[in-house]
Amino acid sequence: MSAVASFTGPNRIVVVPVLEDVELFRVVNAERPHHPGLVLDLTSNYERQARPRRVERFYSVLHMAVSTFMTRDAACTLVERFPGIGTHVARLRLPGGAGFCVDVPPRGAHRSLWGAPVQLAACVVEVEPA
Amino acid sequence: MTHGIFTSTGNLVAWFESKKDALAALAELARDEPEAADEIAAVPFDDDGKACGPAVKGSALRAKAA
Repeated sequence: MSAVASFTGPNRIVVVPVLEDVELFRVVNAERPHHPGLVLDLTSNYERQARPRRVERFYSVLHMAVSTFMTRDAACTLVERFPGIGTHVARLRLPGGAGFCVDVPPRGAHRSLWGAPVQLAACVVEVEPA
Repeated sequence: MTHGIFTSTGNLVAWFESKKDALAALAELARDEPEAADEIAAVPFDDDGKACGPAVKGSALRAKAA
């Protein structure tokens, strides 16, 4: 079977720039803002040099994104169900017009986020246990 | 309800409308990368975007297949 034939995923992904201040929540392992580990916590699978998996094979842009959520509750429920994913939830306050981008999925609380890990880490204003 | 497949890095790598499709994809990932099978999991999400059921790790599907 060809790679194209095995494609399963959305026909398109809508990505928009963050033009107004927005808050998003990310599962992390670091325990406080300004912790050096936050940079790795906010690093995409691409930048970790992880092999692209599933939809990442067809959308390199998603391989380069980090997963966030619109609400803290949504991020916490993921930790409850998949504890290996992290211990804390970081609140990111992203300023508009700073070059960050997010996707606009048809539904759900998940948002893919694009930005340089160091810049994203600088946007973390709060970290709390999940 | 949707089903997302996450890696232990916290990043989503696939999502599906059905549990059956999600578990099939997870099994494929576990076969492709057996060393990473414990680091990937399928998680169901409700319509509000909250995880609403137990995660199934790739390693669990490998164990079943063995």
